[in-house]
Amino acid sequence: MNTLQISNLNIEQWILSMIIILGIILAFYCILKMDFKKDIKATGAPKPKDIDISANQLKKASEEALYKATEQMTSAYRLNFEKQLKENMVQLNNLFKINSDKITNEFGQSLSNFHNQTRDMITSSQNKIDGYSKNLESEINESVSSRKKEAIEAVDNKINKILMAYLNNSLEGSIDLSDQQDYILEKLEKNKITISRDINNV
Amino acid sequence: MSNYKMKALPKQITNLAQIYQIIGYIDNSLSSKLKAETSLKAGLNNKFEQIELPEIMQSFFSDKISWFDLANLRKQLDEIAKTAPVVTITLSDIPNAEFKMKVTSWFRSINPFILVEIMVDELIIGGCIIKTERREIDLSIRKSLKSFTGNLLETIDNV
Repeated sequence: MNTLQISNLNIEQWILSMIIILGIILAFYCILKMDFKKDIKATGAPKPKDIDISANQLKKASEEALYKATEQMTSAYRLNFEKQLKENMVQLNNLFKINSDKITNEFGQSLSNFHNQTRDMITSSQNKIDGYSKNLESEINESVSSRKKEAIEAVDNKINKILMAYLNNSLEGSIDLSDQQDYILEKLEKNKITISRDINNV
Repeated sequence: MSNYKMKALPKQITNLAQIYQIIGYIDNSLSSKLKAETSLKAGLNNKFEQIELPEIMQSFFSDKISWFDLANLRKQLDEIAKTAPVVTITLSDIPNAEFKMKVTSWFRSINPFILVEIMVDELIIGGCIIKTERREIDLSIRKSLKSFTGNLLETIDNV
């Protein structure tokens, strides 16, 4: 849009410049013609030498006027160009500043979101790791406990079997059941209430 | 007419097998008697007769019995076999008759019609295991030894 404005102004400037130049040329031409007619009227028919001088003067004046107009036009164009350039630079600067702020904000927001997401992911991962660690620890403890219990039970059974085998071999036939009568009846008597309740469904 | 009613099972009768053995004997006797009576077109009478009883049945009747008594006894025994509570006692050796009767008497003091099944497991070393319909009460020496070894291991584990 700024470029288009500059282009429009260039065309107008050029048209204006051309009009000015043509106007200046036409003005000099009219002035010289009037002077030339006065000289003819005053001095009669000009001499060829005088005509050459006048033509040279006219040419020189035209060139000077053209040069000045060109200079003025160039200067005006430059000033205008500089002005437009300055304005555009200001606009561009503002635009860049606005966009820069927007981009900075958006980038900042994205960065913040990314930071939050990363933090959440790290927290989540940490929680999962903690949970896994706890579960693993619990499983290991249970496993150790279970193994310990199994080992104790195995030793218990072995010792029981050894003791029972030893006692059975040692006591085989040596303990007469009749010797146990009192012991058994005493044991029964101690548990009479429980047995009675069970038998009579009390 | 005799009206024999059992107040308690005799201590000589301990288990269900003996009950069915007696029932079988009574059935055979009654069957033979009925056949004989039927042939004479006469029913069972209430006359006391000298019926020879096997040893196991002598605990029921100390004197003469009638066929009606026998039939009545059969009916009562059948009822006992169906409804009487049963307890199983496991011993470390085969008990003699005296010990069997002592144990049975002890249980009959709880319930006069209880049936006592005696089993033998030498691994219990000594004592007994009582099993009722509800639970098992281990009063054996093996159990005591297990508790002892268990306590020993527990002590070792805690050291």
